[in-house]
Order: sequence, then structure tokens, then C-alpha cells
Amino acid sequence: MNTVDDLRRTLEDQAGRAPDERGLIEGARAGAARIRRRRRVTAAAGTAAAVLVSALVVPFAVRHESAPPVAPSASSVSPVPAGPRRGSDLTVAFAPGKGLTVSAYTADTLTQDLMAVRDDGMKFYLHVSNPGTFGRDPIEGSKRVSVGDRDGWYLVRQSAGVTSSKPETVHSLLWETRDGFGLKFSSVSGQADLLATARAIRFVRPAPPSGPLQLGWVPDGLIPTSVDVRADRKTGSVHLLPPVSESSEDTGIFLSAEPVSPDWLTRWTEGAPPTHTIAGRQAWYRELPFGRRGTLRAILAVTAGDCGITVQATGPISFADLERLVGEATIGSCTSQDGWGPVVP
Amino acid sequence: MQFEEFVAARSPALLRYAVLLSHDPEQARDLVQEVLTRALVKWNRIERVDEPYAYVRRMLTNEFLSWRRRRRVATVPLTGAHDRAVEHRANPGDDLWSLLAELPRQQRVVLVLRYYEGLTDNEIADVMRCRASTVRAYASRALATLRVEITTETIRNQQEAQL
Repeated sequence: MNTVDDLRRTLEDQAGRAPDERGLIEGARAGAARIRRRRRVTAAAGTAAAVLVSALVVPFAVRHESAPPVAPSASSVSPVPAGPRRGSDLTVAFAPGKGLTVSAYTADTLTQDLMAVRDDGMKFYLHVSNPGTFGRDPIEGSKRVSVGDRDGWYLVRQSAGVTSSKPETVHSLLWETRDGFGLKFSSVSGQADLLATARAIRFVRPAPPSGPLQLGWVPDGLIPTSVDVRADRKTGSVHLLPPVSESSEDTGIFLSAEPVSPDWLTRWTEGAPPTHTIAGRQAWYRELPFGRRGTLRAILAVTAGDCGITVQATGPISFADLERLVGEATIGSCTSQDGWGPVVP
Repeated sequence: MQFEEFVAARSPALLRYAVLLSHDPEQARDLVQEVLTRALVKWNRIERVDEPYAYVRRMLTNEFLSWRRRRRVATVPLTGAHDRAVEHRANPGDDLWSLLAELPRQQRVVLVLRYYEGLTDNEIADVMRCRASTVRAYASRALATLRVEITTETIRNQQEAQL
């Protein structure tokens, strides 16, 4: 049995693990500059370039400095329709037939992340940054490699929590494509396996991932800016915000679908009876007593079969909008992938 | 207060709070960096509130609670900071810390705010935008999971929060 003092001592001790604060101000300035710059650019213009680039398949011929570069495969080029990549769309995938199943997708206006599990259980992580967001400085402790005709870095780290809670050796390959996309591909599988598996990465036409929550309607003035689907956990979420050019950071909607559980009900309904019925589903709606800008204003929780849907809204968004948002959504299963489809229209 | 002054004075505390929430120095730094970036964008508003630190701590709490939903896939640290973390993690006899890491995020937030930041349950409810009864429910479950003995102090804390 532990005591409260034990808990306090543990927290005090572990707080000492905090990293130092050097560089935070500079990082904040740089990040804030990026945010302000993005606000000056329209969402369409900001992503149009990404679509042009996504028409090309990225060559993944990887060699070490001593080896000659491998030519990209011309047959892998495929046409892609015009149109911007929305924050909810993915433009990267793994080639079929390689034994890789994507178990988690996340995308926003700047980055895309995929976690893939191979038939033998090995996990691979792919992080793709939009052009202009990939660091060009050499990485401490890395080995220079070439990716096709591009310079890249190969890195081995002892890390914790990447694929398990135990420290493990994580291999990473980082490079920037000719078009400016930054890629980071990681696994514990080892150098040769990582390099070989990287050849399965493809740029594809923009499309949202499939998930349990599929929106049929979005309020005027909001667009999907990020999406997250965990096929392994049977969860999905979508963030709706104003377009970048009209950005008002105090307005937005975050929707999430996850398996219903007693903890979920406690957290979102606090044991209260339903306040509404939306499309035949029990719903709990409450406005929070925080009027200040930038604070959460309303929460709508809905049970739909084995899914718990939460809608967190900030800014001047009416209950009628939230009701229609949920009412016109298609909701699949949160315990299997039955009824899953594209998460946004 | 200028943003730079705030960061100089408060970032160590924010980093300590973040590392207790995330259990990962690398992620803690990312969390704080993300929150400070957004704080700088709207600093003209934040500096006018009574307690900028409380405001930013709430931002950090919200960021942590939504972090996995949005940030999902684990990333590989690129600095030596993680090496230090691995070394620290190897220390024996830290069962309580390991149990804390297994708690649901909301429960972890409640314990850190109550027993490290020293907030009352009503103040925690304000940070988490929920009711004090919900805070107490999270705390009770978390303490049970951690096998922390319920003493008169914990009961008194609950009674004070109900006032």
C-alpha cells in the first residue's frame, strides 16, 4: 500500500526529469511566424502546390554513400486529379502486396502520419511534412545516406515507447524529396529491413481515410483540418476549423468516435439523463459556463450503437448546427471495422 | 509582462508539469513548445488575464488531453534528451511512477494538479472544464489504481472541495 506522501515524493522526484528550457522562446517565435504566415495565405493556394507534387510517385531507391544511386521506377508514376490536399486527406500510402496494413492514420494541413503493421507483426511509422517544414540541418549522431538523388540521414536511437513501453533500438531514415516533402520512416526492424520496406511508400491521390465516423454535412465556414483514425483501437476524430485565410482560432469543432464504456459515459454524461434525441440516438448537450473567448463553449455527447460520439464546439456554433452535424453523419462500428467509410465528404 | 519574461520565469514549471503528464521528456518539451507557440500568437490577450500562468497551464492541460488524439503515432527523438530519460527510467523501485503512466489521461491530470500543483478539486474542475464531482471520481479511481491508502487528508481534501 502506498501513501499520499509517497505519491507526492514520486511526483517531485520525476519532475526533475524535465528537459531544460533553452530554445523555447526561439521555437515559439518561429512557430508563431509560421502560423501568422499561414493565415495570410488562402487555404487553397497553400495546398495547391502539394497536389501538383503528389502527382508524382517518390522514388525510394536508397543507397549508402559508397553505393551508386538506384534509378526511380518510371512505371510507378500515376495521374492525380487537380485539387488541394485538405487537412483531412492523405497523399501517402504503402504499395499493396507488401504485407503492410495501415493501423493508424493522422493528417492535418501540414503533416501526415501512418503506422503500418506488417504480416509478421513488425510496426513501421511514416511521418510526412509538407514542403518547407522539414529541418535541413544535419542530425546529431546520424549517418549520411542518399535516397535516390537526394541526401538523407540514417539514425539509430535507443528510445522508449515507440512500439512498447521498454527501451528499444529505433532505426530511422529521414530525407527531403526533390519537391520539398520531408519524410521520416522509423521501425525497430533493423537497417536493412527498414531500407527495403521504404520502397513500398507511395504518393497517391488525395483522399480521406476510412473510419467509424463519417460526416455528411459540415457547417458553413468550417473545413476539415485534421483527421485521426486508429483502426487498431476502432477510434476516429475530425477537427473542423475555419479556412486558414479566415482563421479565428476561437471557433471550431472537434468530433471524436470511440467505443462506449462506463468510463466514457461517466466522463461525458456525468450520470445525467439524455437531454435530446438526435436521429434516434441519445444525446447529452451542455453549454459550459465559460464565456471568455478561446474557451470550450459546448459539448454534445451521443451514443450510437457501440460508438460514443463527442462533439466539442468553441465559438458561435449553434446547437442546431451540432444537431445537423451528428444527424447527417454515418456512424459505423467502434468495435469492428463494419460500416467504416471516408471520414469526411 | 512580456512574453519573453513569462517564458523565462515560467517555462521550467511548465516543463515539469508537462513531464509529469506525459511521462516523456521529449514529448513534454513538444507539448510546451506547441503551447508557447500558440500563446505567443495571442499573447496580447493572455497578458491581460489575472493569471497568465494558470491560463497557459490550462492550454497545456488541454493540449495533453488531446495530444494522442491528434498527434497519434509515436515519433523518434532526435536529441540526446531521450537518452537521459532511458537512463532515468532504468532506476529500480519506481512502481508508483510506472502505475501513474498506466492511468487514463484525465485521471493522471487530476493527480498531478492535486498533488503536485496543489490545486483544490474546484480549481481542477475549472482547469478541466468539468464538475468537481467528476474530479473526485477521477481521483478516487486513480488512487485505487495506484493503491494509495485513503487517509484523513484525502478525505479532508474532498470535503474542502465540496465547500
